[in-house]
Amino acid sequence: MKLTQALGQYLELYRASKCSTTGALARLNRLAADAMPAAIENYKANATEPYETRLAAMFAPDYGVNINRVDIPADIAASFRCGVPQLNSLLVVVANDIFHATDSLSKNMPEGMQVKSLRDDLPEEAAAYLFESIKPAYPEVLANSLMAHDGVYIHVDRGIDIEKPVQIVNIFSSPVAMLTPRRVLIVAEENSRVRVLLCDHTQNSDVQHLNSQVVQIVAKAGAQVELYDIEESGAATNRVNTVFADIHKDARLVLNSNFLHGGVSRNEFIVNLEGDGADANLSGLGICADKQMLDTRVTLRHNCRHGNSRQIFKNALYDEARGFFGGKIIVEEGAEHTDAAQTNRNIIVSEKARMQTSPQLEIYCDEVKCSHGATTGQLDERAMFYMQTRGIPADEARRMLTQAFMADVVDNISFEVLRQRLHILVEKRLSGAAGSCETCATSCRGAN
Amino acid sequence: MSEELLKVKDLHAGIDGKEILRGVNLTIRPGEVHAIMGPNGSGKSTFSGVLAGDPRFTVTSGSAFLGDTDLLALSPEDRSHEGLFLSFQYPVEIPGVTMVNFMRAAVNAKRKYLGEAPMSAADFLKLMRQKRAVVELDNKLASRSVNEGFSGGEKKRNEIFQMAVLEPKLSILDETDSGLDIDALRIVAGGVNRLRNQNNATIVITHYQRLLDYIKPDFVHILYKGRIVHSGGPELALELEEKGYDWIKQEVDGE
Amino acid sequence: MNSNQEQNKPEGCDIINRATSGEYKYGFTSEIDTDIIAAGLSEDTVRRISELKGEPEWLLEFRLKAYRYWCTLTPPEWAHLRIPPIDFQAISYYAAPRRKKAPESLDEVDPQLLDTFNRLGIPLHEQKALSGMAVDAVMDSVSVKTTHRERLAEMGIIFCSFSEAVKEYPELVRKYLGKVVSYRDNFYAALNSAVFSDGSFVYIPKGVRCPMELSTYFRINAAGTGQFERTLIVADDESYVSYLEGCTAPMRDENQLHAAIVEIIVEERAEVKYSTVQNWYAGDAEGRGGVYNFVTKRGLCRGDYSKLSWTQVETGSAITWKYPSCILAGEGSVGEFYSVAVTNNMQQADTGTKMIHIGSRSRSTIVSKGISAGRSENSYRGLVKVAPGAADVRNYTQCDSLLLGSHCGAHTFPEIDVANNTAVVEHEATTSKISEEQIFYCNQRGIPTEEAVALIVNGYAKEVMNKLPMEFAVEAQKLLEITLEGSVG
Repeated sequence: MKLTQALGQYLELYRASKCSTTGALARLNRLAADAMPAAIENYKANATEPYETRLAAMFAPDYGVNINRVDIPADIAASFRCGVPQLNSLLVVVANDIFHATDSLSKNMPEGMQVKSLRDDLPEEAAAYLFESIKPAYPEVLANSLMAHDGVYIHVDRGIDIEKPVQIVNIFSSPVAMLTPRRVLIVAEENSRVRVLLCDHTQNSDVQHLNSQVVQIVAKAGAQVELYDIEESGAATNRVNTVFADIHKDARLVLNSNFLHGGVSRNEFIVNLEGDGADANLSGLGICADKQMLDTRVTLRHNCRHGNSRQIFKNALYDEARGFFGGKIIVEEGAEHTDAAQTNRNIIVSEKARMQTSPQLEIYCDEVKCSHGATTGQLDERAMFYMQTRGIPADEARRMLTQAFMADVVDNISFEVLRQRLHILVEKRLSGAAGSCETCATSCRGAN
Repeated sequence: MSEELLKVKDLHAGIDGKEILRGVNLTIRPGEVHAIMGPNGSGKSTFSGVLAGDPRFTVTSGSAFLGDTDLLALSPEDRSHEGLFLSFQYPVEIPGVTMVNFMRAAVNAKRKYLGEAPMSAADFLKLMRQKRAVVELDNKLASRSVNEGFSGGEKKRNEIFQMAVLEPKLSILDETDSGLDIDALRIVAGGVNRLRNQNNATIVITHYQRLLDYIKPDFVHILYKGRIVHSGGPELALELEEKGYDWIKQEVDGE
Repeated sequence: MNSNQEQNKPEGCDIINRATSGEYKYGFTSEIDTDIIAAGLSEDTVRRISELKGEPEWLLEFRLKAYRYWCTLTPPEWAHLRIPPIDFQAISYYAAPRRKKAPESLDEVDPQLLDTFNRLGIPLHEQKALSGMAVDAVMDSVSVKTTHRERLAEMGIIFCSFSEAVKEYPELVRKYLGKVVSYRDNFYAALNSAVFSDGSFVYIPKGVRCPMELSTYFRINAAGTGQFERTLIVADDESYVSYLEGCTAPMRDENQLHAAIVEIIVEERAEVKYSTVQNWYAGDAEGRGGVYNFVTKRGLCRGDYSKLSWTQVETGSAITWKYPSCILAGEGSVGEFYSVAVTNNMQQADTGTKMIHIGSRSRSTIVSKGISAGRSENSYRGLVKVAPGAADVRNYTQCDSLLLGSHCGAHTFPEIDVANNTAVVEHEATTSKISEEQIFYCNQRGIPTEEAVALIVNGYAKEVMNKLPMEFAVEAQKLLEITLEGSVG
């Protein structure tokens, strides 16, 4: 199916139905509708990207869109047992695409912070950020913008340091195949700090979902924004996720994305280092089995002096899983003293798994230090043998080595509760123990 | 239970189709220390690798029994569980796996194989502490990744520490002396001697007499071109030290 | 280094004249009578080229098929290059030095032509060419003279111009032509297949080690022409050949198009070493003129344990678009790619390689060193692909870029596609600026900056330069220095 048809069906739906949104969201919908035809026309899929994660393929199924805002019940309590418990967080639950504030959120909201629905009155500045996401190069973001009718807005005042993380639990629950457009906008004013944790869960795992997500991050001078993402959804839940981050002078972004379970997941991170001394630390891991597919794309643009960026992405592929990593570092003219490094390492465990990697450097400035490294291979055979001679069975040795392989991504997380939890989640995923939550569809499996 | 702890008969093995061991015969009884010496490339490390089940090598014929157990039929881990220990010439670095996790996995796998319950965390830590003393291994090494960033001496002491923890029936020390200074050598050898008893046995593979000053062998074998071409008592090692390997080569090659 | 090379470099064997200044030394035009057919491309042009060359019917058919296919294509746009629109109807597709019949001896070769090659330092006089190198010189579109043929023939080695090969060894040419690079491969391959004029043909029989370096020397001379040569090398079982290719063109204000094809077939346990020093005219400092170098080079390692090694030093051309590749079909076959690409002023290069692993236990190594200066753009583009059935494949890629100046670009676009769980593929890339400490250290020892840069760049490129046959290495080193003159300070 062509992109024109795949996305056109949603444009038609938008035009045919009565718009239920108001204010900034209504304007966002309209802007997207106007920009869509030309964006589709001009869009060219990269010849080497996998067919399954091309936009035309991902949006092709005839998903329903809850444009009439029918209330679909979601068992919030059931999902809450999942994810990262014992986390003293400010909890937001997004059931499909609808924002639900929890009691703990309103009771514990720190001074200088706002966490609210995008349907609420938005300051003009916030609305302007939303409209900035309308870019012809990203038809998937236009599709999301076209249908967005709710979302989460997080704002931290100047100089405020919020220790407590905001946890956004995304629950997918629908009796019929559905596309849920989800939005998150995070604005950190000067010298503030905020941590956000996103967790994806599917409640009825046999129904097809498309999770269309757009996250926008603005870190103003000296601010620090940390975004953590754990994808643990059903095998029939696909995801098209786009994260835009603009990092200003001396500001810092930490972005960590973990795929533990799901269907076909496409994640694009577009990070702009806009102010001198801006810093970005991106990391991610993927454990893919069955016919799962993880597609990670990074465009990291250095457009400032003394910018620093680090990226590390690791994948382990089992069964017939496929992985794709496209990482681009662009250093613009004048971006002197840039220091950029990217690492992508992959293990192919099973005969039918496949990994494609395309790391790219585009450099237009000479005062730079840039590197990328990519490897695709297997676990170290010498290490395997050494462990076996010490009596550790092959399966366990393999699991321990795979966990060790993933360890530096997890250790990279400075958010301690999450780091410890993620170590356990990875271990569980690799050892095939059932997840602690029944709602999550993770049918964890052993490392063969 | 037979009298022999290890019985190797006419063992042939090689790598990538190239034959390296061409019929090794060796019998070891409990309580004995055997030294295997030989020039470079004679097959010493292949022999230890084959006994431990290194997948790089292929056994083409012959047999190797540990007690009544057919070693060649077992996976490397089961050979370990049966009581075979190999101290590697080049211990492998495993980034990201801590020594503690590594040893706990090893100990509990063996207990499971023997039908015992896993060791409690407290007992395990006690065991580690106790065994570390054998080779004067620093406590800090325990929290580091396996062999990563260890000095040459630390790596070899770490091997003997693991041997102490696993209490094998048969230990093979593959060139444990290579890259060690005298002090480290003394510590390592002291550890080995402390672990010796009437029920276990040791194979010391070495190029030099030096190590045998510290670990006294009962028998010395010379491996050359994939065969044991000479066996004798400890005096053979001294003779080799004095005369080198040339006379052996001449004797075998008939020149 | 090859054992069959002379230790002392005899006079006159320089592939490229020793150069002493930064100006392009090969920019003279020769006043030679040339047969040029009218500009423009049509079926008639294709038929006319074939007729001029007295070709058999099957070859004309091949050309026509390619031409018809080409008509359906548009030039590729995926490279990181800005290519001005090319008017394919404004190019003359055939230019030949005028002569009545093939020269029997050097005495019959146009003295002006001999003079041209002498000025380039190409030894066509065999008595002078003691260097152990056989040369095929291609002027504009036509092979002028191949040396050492008799000696090679004694060993069963065929080394001749493509046109002669078509006449004398039609079965061989027909068997292999277009088998590695199909006319459907890409836009420029289709164009070349339709209008190619000449080139070199090499056949090394079973078990023969070619005793000397085989070399083709290309020169574009006539104005308003393109050069479309084809090289076909077949190395039969257990044979070996080292092949060198050099190129120059006069300075002209307009751009000249060079769209060549190189096809190599390597049979069981055979080895082919293919070295290129590419020094086409790069245009002036403002980017006027220069050659568009759009080349398709590919080798098929068909036999088990066969080996193909590409080494290239790319210093010339206004725009370079080429990816010498290896299809590693044989079990245990080996592919290598060693490249130094230097761009200065307004030059653009998009070059790299493809290693397609189909055979089990096949191995490949890629070492690419890019150096950008001035306002140039220099990209590495590569593909390493491991097919599902290819077990125990190994690849190692090292890809470095060096930037001299703040207005140039250095880019890296590798693709890695692994569909086998026994493969190990590693890619490392770095981009850095020439180290100021190193330059200062040289300065302090009395070495001027320009010289220091040459020194450092040569050190940086050494790993690749060492792969070149000795005759080429010295010249290539000089070329690097010349290309970069005036780029720093």
